[in-house]
Amino acid sequence: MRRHLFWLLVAIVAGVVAHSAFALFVPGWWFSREVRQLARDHGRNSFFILSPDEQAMLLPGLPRFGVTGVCVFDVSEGNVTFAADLPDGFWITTIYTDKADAIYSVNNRQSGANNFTVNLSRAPGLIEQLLKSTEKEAIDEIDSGWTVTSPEPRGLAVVWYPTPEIGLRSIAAEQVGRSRCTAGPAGEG
Amino acid sequence: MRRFIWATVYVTVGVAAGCISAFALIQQAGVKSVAAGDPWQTRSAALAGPNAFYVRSHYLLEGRLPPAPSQLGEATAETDSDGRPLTGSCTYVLASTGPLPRWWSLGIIETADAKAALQTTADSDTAVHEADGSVKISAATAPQAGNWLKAPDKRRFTLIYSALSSSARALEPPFSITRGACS
Repeated sequence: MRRHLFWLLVAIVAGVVAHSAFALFVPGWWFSREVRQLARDHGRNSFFILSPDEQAMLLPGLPRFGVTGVCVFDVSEGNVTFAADLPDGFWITTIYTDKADAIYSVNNRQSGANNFTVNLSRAPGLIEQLLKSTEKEAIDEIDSGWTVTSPEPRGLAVVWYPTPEIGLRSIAAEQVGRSRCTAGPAGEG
Repeated sequence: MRRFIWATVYVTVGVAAGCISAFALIQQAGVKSVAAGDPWQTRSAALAGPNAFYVRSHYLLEGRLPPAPSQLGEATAETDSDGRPLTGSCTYVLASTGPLPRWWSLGIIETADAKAALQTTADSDTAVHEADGSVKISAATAPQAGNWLKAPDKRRFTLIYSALSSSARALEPPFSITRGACS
């Protein structure tokens, strides 16, 4: 009886560990395959327009007529600059980590301009933050509206621009495609 | 030898139960009806709540991005307003239940999996409005007069609704779903 109780406790511990490991790692690993595939097909730190099929995979709830532009960014080796150059009309720009955590989102009304630049950088770790606060440097690097720090080294900057009919998609794609994503701070790309 | 077998059985059962419970929690976390007794269900509202980690995991396992928080909301319906499953054997009339947001989109997918191929969509740019400003959309396998969403032949389907979430009505039921004739 006591032996079975011991192994029952072992089973419960194994269950808790498996539950935590599954929830923490499996979804992120599963989605990062999709992100890696996009990066392989289109390159990192470059802006590209998704095909309707790719858009259906990544944002299935949105109409196929719309235009979705993506930059798979990697800030592990330095900052990345996303320079949006969007047409008039309704659009949404959202920056996600590769764990699908939306860290920044703005639409045309909130932005007030169709041309803007977002500087993407890696968020400092806990130890780095502590060191900086000790050195009283942190105040110099507080986010402005156009600087985004990502807790993950990789992520996606996504621009979505709906168009009312399929015939307008290629024209809108050309306009949205003027946006740029480049490694390095603004002005160096 | 017997002890080894028991140990293996207990650990295997524990690991399997842990993985299954995590998967089940991820699938169910944050899912709630848009309004009591309404067929529309949403999980995008929970992206900012305490279940956000599990809700995000749901989207990750589907290999897709969640709707941009505070920008877009998303809801799905698998039944009509009387609770009967949506099927291509019947026609349905979807009628807006109030003012719609500045941008919205309504589409049909073949299964409950939101990643399944979208059949057709009607949206704020393409839908024809009634004289009183409301919107009526037919969902059927055969073409219908006015706004029409093509339903899959004889099979069950799911409606997926996306809309700007900045409006006051973002979390209210967007369309009533009334079943018409069935074959």
